[in-house]
Amino acid sequence: MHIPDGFLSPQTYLPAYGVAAAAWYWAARGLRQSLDEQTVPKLAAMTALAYGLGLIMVPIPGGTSGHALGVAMLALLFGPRLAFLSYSLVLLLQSLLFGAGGITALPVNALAMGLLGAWSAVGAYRVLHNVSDALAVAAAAWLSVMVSGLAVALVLGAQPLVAHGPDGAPLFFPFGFSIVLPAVLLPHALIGVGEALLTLFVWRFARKRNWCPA
Amino acid sequence: MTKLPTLARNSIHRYAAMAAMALLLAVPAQAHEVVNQIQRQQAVTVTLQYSDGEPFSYETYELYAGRGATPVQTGRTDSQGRVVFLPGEEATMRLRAFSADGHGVDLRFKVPAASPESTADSPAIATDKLGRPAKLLIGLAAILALFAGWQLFIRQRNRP
Repeated sequence: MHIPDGFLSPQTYLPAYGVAAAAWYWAARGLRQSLDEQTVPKLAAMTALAYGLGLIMVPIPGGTSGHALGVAMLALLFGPRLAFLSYSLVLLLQSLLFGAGGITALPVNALAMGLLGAWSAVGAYRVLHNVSDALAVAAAAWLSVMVSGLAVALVLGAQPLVAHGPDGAPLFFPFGFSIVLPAVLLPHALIGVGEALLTLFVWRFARKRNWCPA
Repeated sequence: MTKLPTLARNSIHRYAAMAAMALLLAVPAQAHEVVNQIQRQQAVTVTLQYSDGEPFSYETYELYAGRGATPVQTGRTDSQGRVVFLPGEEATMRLRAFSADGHGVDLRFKVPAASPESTADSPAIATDKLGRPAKLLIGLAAILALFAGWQLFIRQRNRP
């Protein structure tokens, strides 16, 4: 789901950097209070896990590959602000070291996966946790993948409209909404199931050790 | 010499005129033919695959020479995720490949030098010099170092 360099127009990624900068500032406010001595090692371990998970590619029917995000487990355990910051760090490292996601696309990837993914996970959990804790965690994880995927697909699908040559030929990502939305969302509905199982496993591990829930 | 009847003579003239016209028309008609020439040449192969080894197959690509704005070659990768092209004058190329689900590359690379004496394959250009395990460890080390630094900062701050 990581958008690489060269796929997004400057008309997209420059404003996205502005929005992401504001979001990073918002997330970093109160960091000294929220990131205490007990939380740091846990967050470090979960960030490292999310970093590793994002690099394990799993073949998906249809000739493509996908990977888990890990942003839901970060959001459920540490809240959306810390999840957003941690996941932004994960995306930065994946981008710099592996080329998985681009530097120009970093703000879009961070906002889509780190912020929207985290908020949708926390939102779904808060709505559903009175029904069933396990269901709430699984739904939160699945929804975080789908919402992130939707955001990425919308940004990609908008590129032919945003940046094209005089002849109408797309200058950056060439596929429109009708192609990119099903291409991103259908495989991610399956990836979301894997993400849900994984998040549930980590959630139970963390609850047994009384790690702070969102 | 026998004289042909007038009707037959006219027919021959008509057929001769039609044949001449057909020949004249055939010359410009040749421009619509696609002629072919099959040769074996030294091409450059760029292989694209996902990190799990799955080929980036049948995906759209655009190939640019140097800083050119118009692609010199477009198409789809083959079943093995390959883009094959014959290098021209330009030493550097840019390859953009997209899948509809947002995967792909925007790759700039130098065309490997050809050896005129040998038809053997040139060694592959190492685009990944560090290797995946080393990069994974560097990333993990960076995460742990950052959080360790933050932990030290908190301890310093909380020290009475």
